Order: sequence, then C-alpha cells, then structure tokens
Amino acid sequence: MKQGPIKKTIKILLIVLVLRPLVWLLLGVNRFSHLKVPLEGPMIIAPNHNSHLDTLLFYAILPLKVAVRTRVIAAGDYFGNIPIVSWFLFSFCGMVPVYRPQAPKVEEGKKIKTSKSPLESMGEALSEGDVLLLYPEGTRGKPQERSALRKGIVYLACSFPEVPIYPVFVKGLGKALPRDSFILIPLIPVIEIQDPIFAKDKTQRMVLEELENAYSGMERKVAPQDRREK
Amino acid sequence: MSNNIVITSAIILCSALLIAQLIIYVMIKMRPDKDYQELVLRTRSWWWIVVLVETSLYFGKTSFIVLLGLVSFFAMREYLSRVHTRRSDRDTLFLLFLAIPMQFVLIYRGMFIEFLCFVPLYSMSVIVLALLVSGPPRGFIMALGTAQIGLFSTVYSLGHFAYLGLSDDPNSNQIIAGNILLPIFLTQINDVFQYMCGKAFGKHKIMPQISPKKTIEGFSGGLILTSSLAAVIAPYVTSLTHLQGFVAGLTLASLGFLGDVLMSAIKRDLDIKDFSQLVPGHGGILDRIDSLIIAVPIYFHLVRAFSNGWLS
Repeated sequence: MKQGPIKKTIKILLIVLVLRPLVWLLLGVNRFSHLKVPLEGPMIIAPNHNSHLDTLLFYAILPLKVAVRTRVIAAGDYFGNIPIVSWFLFSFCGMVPVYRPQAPKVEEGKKIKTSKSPLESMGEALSEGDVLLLYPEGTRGKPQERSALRKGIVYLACSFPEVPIYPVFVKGLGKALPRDSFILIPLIPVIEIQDPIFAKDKTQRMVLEELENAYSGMERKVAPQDRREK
Repeated sequence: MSNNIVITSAIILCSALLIAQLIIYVMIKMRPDKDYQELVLRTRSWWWIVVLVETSLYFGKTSFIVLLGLVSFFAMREYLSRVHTRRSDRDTLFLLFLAIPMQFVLIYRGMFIEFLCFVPLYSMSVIVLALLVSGPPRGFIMALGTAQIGLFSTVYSLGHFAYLGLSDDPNSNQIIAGNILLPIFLTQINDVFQYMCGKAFGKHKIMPQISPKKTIEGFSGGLILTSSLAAVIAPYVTSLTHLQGFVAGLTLASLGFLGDVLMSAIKRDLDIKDFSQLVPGHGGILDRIDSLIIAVPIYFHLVRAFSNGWLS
C-alpha cells in the first residue's frame, strides 16, 4: 500500500485521537499496542468475526506502526455500496474488496479493480509488506458463535508459506453489537492471541486444521466465565 | 471551610503516597530480585484515585457528580460484560446504561424523593416491562435479579454517595467534602486493618466458601480499630460528635465487609478473579469500590438521623 507522509500522519492522528479514546470509552480496552505481533509486515491477522466493531477494535489495539499498514479484507458487494463508509474503508483502511458470488449482483461500474481476483490483490499487498486483517469465517455469523472457516485464508497462506498468520479470538463483541442490531451496548471484550502459524511444508488441509485447533483452543481458554450462557 | 478540608486532606494523602513511593523505591533497591510490579501499579493507581477525587471535590458539585456518573458507567460496563445475559435482554442492558444519567440529573437538581425512588421503583418498573416485552419467561427471574444487583451496586450506591456531598441549599455549588472523604477513608483503612489483624491473629475463617483468607479475628480487629479511629477523627472532618463518629465507624466497617463479600460472591459465582483491568493493580472499578456499595447508602441514612439529633 503506497501512502505519503501526510496520509500516514492523518491516519495516526485519527487512531490516537479518535479511535483509541472511543474504543477505550465504549469497549473498555485500555491496553493498546499489547497484541504481540512483529512491527514489520507482511503478516495476516486472522480474528473471528462477530460484529462490525471487530475492525474498529483491531485498528485501535494493533501497534501504530502495524495499524497504518493494515488492510482490511471486506465484502465489496456490501461495504462498497454504503457511500461514506466505502470511501473511508477504501482510502483509510486500504480495503481489499471481495465480491461474493452468492451476494446480489453489483453494477459493473461500481466495482473497483475488477480485473484482479481478491486473492491476487491480497497477494500483492503481502508482497509489498502490508498487514492483512482477514476474517477467516468470512462473515459475522450468529452472535457469539464461531462459524466454519472458509478456504480463502488457506489458499492465501499456501501461496505465501513464509508469511505468519496470527489467529486472534475476540469474545463479547457479538453481545455489544450483533449483526441484527443498531444499538451499541458498551461491553468489554476478552481478547486472546496465539503464536503465529506458518504454512511452510504443510498441506492446505493441515493449515486449516491448525487454524481450527487454534480457535477452539482459545475459545476454551476464555470459556470458564461463559459456562451457563447456552 | 469545605475547601479547607479538601486541601488539607489532599496534602495528607499525597504525603502518605510519597512516603509509600519512597518505601517501595528502597524495597526495590534492597531486593532487586523480588517482583514488586503489582505494588508499583497499585500505588500508581492510588495516585490517580487521589488526584481525581480531590480535584473533582475542589471544583464542586458539577465536577463531582460528573466524576461519580462516569465511575457508575465504568462499573456498570464491567458488570454487564461479566454477567450472563440472554440475547433478548439487550434492550434492557441499554436501559440500565440510560439509568445512570437520569439518576445523576435527579441528584444534580436535588430532587430528594425522586432520587431515592429512582432505582427501586421507577427503574425497576421500566425494566420489568422491558423484560416482559422482549424476552421469553424462561430465565426472567435471573435476568431481573441480574439487572437489580447491577443497578444497586453501581447507580444506587454511587448515587447515594453523590447525594451525601450535597449541601442543603440546592443552588450552592459547594460539596461537603468531609461527608465524602470520611466513608472512603474509613472503608479503605478498614480493609487494611482487617488484613493486618487477620495476618497477626487470624485463626477462624468467617466465610470459608467465599473468601478463604478472611477471618473472624481480622473482621473484629478491623471493626474495633476503624470505629475507634472514626470516633477520634469524625468531629474534625464532619459535623458528627465522637459518639456519632464511633457508630458511623462501626457501620462502615461492618457493612464495608458485607459489600466486600457480596462482590466476592458474585465473582465466585462467575468464576472470575477481577471484574476488569481498568484500575491497574486493583482490577476493576467494582473490585475497588466493593466495600462502599452497601456501606454508603446506610451511612447516608445514618448521617440524616444524626443531623436530626440522634445520639447528639
């Protein structure tokens, strides 16, 4: 992602002066930059996805140096159609749009960079040393539940075997702002991060299994306090 | 008069913290191999608490009520993040947050009866209605109880705390600082006394299932020391007499203990150690204010009885 010093400064100011105070007030996260990730890309941050707040949260808690280079992978057919949000995502979050086949068709004129497949643009971003914020479940799914992983992350990982994937588990945002609600309830999430996974010398199936295990392991770790929620 | 108390207490507390800081510094120099991280964090958080409380008291009613409103918000936020709620209870959670500004506006305006009834009567009826409309009957009692304890331990108790500082003249911006500082000081020092007496003479466990470290000896020692201390200092910071101060100390010490074990019981039930990490070294807001939760509303009634002439 090419960006000049001015854009970088604006991004940093936005994160420090707006996003972090907001996340601190509404989500009670007060230890920023504590996710143990290297300060240099390329890498893939792979959190579970329950809420729109996930993306905001990650831009706030990643180290600043990483956050300015982070590009979020999001559904182009959904976010590309919301006027201001789409402009913001493309220009500040360096969004890599994915146009899903099952989603309603988007007019050709509205699509951006249709010549490349999403995997190609993600690969390009990784070779430039960018950080990808990729939700392997693809969609927010049912509140507070994990859905099955999609294959996209595995294809990407196997074409870039040296790039670390950091599985992150966030619990609680599905309660704060689930998919069918517009009212945000200020609640504190629990955040877990695991050691990176590399696809080197592994088959696609092995990578998928390793990711799956990582998520269920982290889910068990934060589970004790949720034993009666079912 | 009131601002004199604020400034004097600020000087005393800051010097006490400076001494603590010095002791920690010496301890780290003497035994660099031991881990003092927790102690350092705790002291730093105490600095924050002292500075925030004293400044808001100094600037008067508005800043103090805003501070307590924010503390209520943080306490409610960490409480609701930890307890179990059903999906259908989301509207109720929103209403619980809405109760905070409403309660503190009533306090700001000095509307005494409305302020007293707000949590037990008005809020409860609205929440009952919200739960009936939005959720299935299965789990209704749990949801209602969860909401009620949440309101009680945040909005209700801190609301009483704010009202405690208001003077009789509703237009005055003055805060009666002594009424605020005395219960904080006594409940906190009671924790220390309980801990020290428990360490020295502790034998018989008082609540083995909830707090295995608390002992009958620690509790009684805290009770005696705190009420004696209260009897000595109360006349200097409030309008209470020595006897009234003694009764106030007795009340704050015993009910401080009750609030403490109430929060411990909730945490045991939820299988958590702290409510959050908002106050580094201490845990969450509720972990810090636990001993005020029951003690302050009762102390509020006690002070009113005293000012009406009881035991004077």
